Amino acid sequence: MRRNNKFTIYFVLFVLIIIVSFSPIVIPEGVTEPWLFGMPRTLWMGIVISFLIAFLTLFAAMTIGDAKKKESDK
Amino acid sequence: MILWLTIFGLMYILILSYTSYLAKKEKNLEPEMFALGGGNLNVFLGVLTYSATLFSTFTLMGMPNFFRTHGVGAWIFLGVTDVAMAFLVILFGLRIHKVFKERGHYSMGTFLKESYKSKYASYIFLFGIFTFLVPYAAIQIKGISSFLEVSAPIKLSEFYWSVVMLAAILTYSSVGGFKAIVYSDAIQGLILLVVVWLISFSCIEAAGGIENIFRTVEQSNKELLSIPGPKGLLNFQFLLSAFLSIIIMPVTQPQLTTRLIAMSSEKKLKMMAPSVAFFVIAVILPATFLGMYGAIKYADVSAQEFWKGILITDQSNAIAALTIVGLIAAAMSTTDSQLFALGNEASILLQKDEKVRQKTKGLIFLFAVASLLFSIFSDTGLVQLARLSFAGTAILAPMILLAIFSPRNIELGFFMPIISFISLILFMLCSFIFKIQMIAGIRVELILYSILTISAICNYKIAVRKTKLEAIYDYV
Repeated sequence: MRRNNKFTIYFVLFVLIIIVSFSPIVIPEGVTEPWLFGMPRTLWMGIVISFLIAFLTLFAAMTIGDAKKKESDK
Repeated sequence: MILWLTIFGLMYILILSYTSYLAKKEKNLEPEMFALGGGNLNVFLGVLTYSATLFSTFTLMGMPNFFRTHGVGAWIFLGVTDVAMAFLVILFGLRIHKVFKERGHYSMGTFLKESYKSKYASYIFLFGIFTFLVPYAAIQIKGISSFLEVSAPIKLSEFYWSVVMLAAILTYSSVGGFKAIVYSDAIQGLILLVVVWLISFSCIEAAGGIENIFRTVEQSNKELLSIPGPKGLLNFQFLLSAFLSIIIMPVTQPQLTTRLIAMSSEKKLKMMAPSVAFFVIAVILPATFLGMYGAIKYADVSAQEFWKGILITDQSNAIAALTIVGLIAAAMSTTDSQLFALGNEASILLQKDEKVRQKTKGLIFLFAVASLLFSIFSDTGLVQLARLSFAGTAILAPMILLAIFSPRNIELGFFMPIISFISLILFMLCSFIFKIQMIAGIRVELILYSILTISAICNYKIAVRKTKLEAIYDYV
């Protein structure tokens, strides 16, 4: 797979994660269940989402640089 | 505690003096490079200076208090949003770094002036950042001064603490320019990280573990464990508006933009982004536990009493002393970054000769006085003031992004600066005069962002078509 396509995939994943973050899946009003790691739903899901975005940022950073380098090599 | 405070205080002053000396060694830089400290930041310094500028006293004070008052929904507002901003640093940062280097700019004002072919575009930018960064700088001064007034062993009123803090900031930032500020940011970033975890661990231990904290909160105030929180603030629109305002900060807040431009290479810039993302989580996570701990132990007290409790009274003397030094360092590093960015933008726009450095210092002083006055007369909460600052500067985003992502050869016209200026005025009227948050059930800033975004897209399409037509006419 081309590396700039990979970056597009990471970007689409980023947008999807953000949409989920602002949906009732993560921020339902007045709901605390289910609990995980001793924390209520919105908090643990928010933390998981933050880690997902952080790792996406890492992968995207590695990819976008390589894609640009390849383009300039051509 | 006095002994520990003296030890940590002296250590901090010694490190600051040494870094001032390091920065001063580079004082012969060209005037334009004074603004970027040589433009040779590595990943380590880049991450720490960016993060320390982003986080400040409001990490140790505002954030825990916000969690204590509004509950865990604040994680979406602070945690998710700031990490998302780090992701977008890759996109915006790389583009800004590339465009600014190619076109020889080192300030957003001059870049906008060239892109829109009008000095008024840069004046509108300056007007926007002055209006909304002064309150942001005032937050730091207000936060640390009100804390020191009730907590420091030396008894001074909030006003005198504000003056002392500003004097220290002005002295330090005038010594070595941007590079000195970067070094102070690095020190502050490390102190902040250590302090917030030390305090957090002791609070978690005192409360009997993380699960115990949340289970106790569930019994005492269950509304804190979901949105919109006990006061109903963290609803969908508030979170969305805050998200849009914050993710755009790397392009709208000059103190952050400067740090992107100052990275030595694109490679280092792109590796800075994920490091900032993990730093964000490392700082906000313990702040969450502190807030929830406060919701149990300091549920009904004032913000000042809460801060004094978790940061001083509940800690050992050594940690409490380190916290005070850390807070002073945090306030200093963020405020001097903001004041320097404001002074820098203004002086570069106004300059006609090589006296950038002198003008920067003079303007920094003026902005410092404006911030001091704002901190004295404002009675709004720290996080709310920060959010207002983010929302205000975000109004400039479509105008800036249009300039950044447009090719150099297309005529952008003056439509976006005009409509951005009108939006700024409307937002200021709604926020400061009429106190209107919603129009027809939608937040004012969301309406303005939508109008400005659509305008920027239309402006781009029209400008591209016009350029193509002109090329055809020229050919014919």
